[in-house]
Amino acid sequence: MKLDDFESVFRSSVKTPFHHAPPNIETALLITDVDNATTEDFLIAAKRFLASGHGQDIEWTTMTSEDFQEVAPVLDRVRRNPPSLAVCYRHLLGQGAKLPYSLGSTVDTLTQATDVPVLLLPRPDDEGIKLPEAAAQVMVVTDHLTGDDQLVNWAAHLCTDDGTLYLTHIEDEAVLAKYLDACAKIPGLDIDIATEKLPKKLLSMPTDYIASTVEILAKESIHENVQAIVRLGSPVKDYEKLVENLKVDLLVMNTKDKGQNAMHALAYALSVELRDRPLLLL
Amino acid sequence: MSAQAITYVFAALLVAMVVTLAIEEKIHAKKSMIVGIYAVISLLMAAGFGILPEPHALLSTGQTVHMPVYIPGVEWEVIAIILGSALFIDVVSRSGIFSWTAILLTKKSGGDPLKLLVYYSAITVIFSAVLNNVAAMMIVGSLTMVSLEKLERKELLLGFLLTEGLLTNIGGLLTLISSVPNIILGNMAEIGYVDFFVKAAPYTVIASAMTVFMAVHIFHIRRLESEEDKKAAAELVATFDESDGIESTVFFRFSWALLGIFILVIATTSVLPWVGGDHGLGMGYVAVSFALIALIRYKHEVDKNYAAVDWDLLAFFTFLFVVIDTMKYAGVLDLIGGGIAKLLALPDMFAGASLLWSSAIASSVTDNVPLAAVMGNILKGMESTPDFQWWATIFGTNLGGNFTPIGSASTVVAVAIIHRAKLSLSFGAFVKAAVPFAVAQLVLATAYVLLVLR
Repeated sequence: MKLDDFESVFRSSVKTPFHHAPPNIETALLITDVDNATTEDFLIAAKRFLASGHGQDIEWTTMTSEDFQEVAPVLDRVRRNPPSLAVCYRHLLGQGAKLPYSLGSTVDTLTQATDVPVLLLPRPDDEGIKLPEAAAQVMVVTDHLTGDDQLVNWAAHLCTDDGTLYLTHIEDEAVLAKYLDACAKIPGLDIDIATEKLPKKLLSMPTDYIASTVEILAKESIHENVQAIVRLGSPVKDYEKLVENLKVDLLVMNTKDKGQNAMHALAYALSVELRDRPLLLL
Repeated sequence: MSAQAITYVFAALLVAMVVTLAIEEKIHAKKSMIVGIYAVISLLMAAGFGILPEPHALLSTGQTVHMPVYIPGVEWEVIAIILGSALFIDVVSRSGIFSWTAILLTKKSGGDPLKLLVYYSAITVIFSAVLNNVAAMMIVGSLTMVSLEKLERKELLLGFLLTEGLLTNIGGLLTLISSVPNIILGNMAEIGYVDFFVKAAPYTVIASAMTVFMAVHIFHIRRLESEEDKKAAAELVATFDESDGIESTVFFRFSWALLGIFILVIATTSVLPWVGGDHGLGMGYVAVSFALIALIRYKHEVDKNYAAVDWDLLAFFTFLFVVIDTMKYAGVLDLIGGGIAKLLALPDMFAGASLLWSSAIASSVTDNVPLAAVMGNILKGMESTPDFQWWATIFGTNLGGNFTPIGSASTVVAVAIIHRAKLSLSFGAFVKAAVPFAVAQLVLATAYVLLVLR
């Protein structure tokens, strides 16, 4: 073994542990553009949904279409007095309602121009889609789970005590194949080793992180039912199937990062595809 | 050309080879290439001058076979020991036993810098003794880099790595197979494994403790004081998983057992039937046999293990033996031996001290392997060489490597890790930092050899 080998062994032995720090949701801002009666019902349903987990003691305020006719006042309100959580739905003010495969400019702005987590619920005036009573099946969705304590903490906090917390990590097989193909074209790189070990290592890191999460949550007697789903695949397609098969009530995913990358990758694709599920966009 | 003139020509060739080896990095040439070229030139010149013996060997059956001089000139047993040990250690390392031990100790330290230095120093010495000093430096040095990075104590890295580099050469003194000079000189002096260990161990323990003590003060390595700092450091080192590098628990346990048996067999080689004694198969046979047993684990891909062997080093030794053998025929070893004989004619105290310090100074500026090979041949060629003079040479050739960054292979590795960690350390800065340690170790070694081993 050479110096590089030993360094790799030791670097690999350093695990990223999960740190439990539940979010402090003191205030929530409900943003709607429907009539008052529907807004009332929507508020009750949203409160019930969050309270099914650990979101009972939240101070709610509402912002209706009487308060805003465009995005700017919403942005101004959120920036001036940031709530712990913004709760809304797609196509506020009818923006892009005829374009189902979009979120509308208000949600786009909230996710990209503020740091406030956004809970995106199905539209209250859509008869065909009902908000689940409780967040019993909560799924963390990412292609970079390792070390993402925030995602797990929010998901664990909003999941019901007897519910199931799915910690998932789907590594994009097509991207991996592209890199391995590039490796195969570089003389001196052992493609057999790369093909054998790179996928294993990519999957072992989130697997170890989930093991640490399970251990810490069990130690603190929170969510004994944590399921790990870590694999190679086609993220958007696989998540659609998983969400359907596991009857997921809430998906938790990242949309805010300095490089503005998260919202333009997996999160956006799922946000527009999974229009019938509550999504927590962090 | 007169015999004396031929001797001087070859002496000049030997000096040129030593100088070229000293500047190997500047001329971007591997050791084996440099010495190989000198071997080819010296053999051709020796053949031209007609100083080589007839290329024939008389077998015990009375049969004469053609055997060019460069075949018996190589100490094949030394090559077998180095090759066998390198393969064996490579396979056993893959089981994760050494990284497991190193990580376990890291966690036991709780991230406290002082405890970490003591633990890392101990494993550096032990690994240098059991493996070899280069492998020890690679294992402990790379872990040091990762763990101090994790503990956010990179300012301590230079001190840690320098201390470990200096300790590898002390650990390399512990057993007969811990370093190449030990193998060469120990074999020539016919020192057994156990005898070597018993005589070298007390010095190794005292010198290691002294080195750590000095490092603590020179590099300002302190214990963590506050409970808060201790808790934070313990949490950080707790993220290491010692079992991560273990691919197979069965192979892990097997490797521990095999390593134990290897050390036991090597230690008792001299008394083992068929293996020990003048007519036995020898230590090289033991090392290669254990390598093959260990390789069974990777029987379908042994080529990868073969690739991990330092062939440059093996070729270097092979060519070096050829050069030195040629120098013997050219009278160069007798010439140097004459000078050393005058040194050894001094009273024992002065002779031993001179031999130890001159070996140390010579090995600080060039490779200690050619030095050991030359000195070994000279001492062996003398009428009688007292044991303590062999020991003075062994201590000098090993410890001299601590004066400069090019003094030994393990200090070269230490400097490589320092540069990898993007720390700057010039040749002069290394010498300035290392000299107090090297001088203290040599003073202690001189006292030990002259007062205890004489």
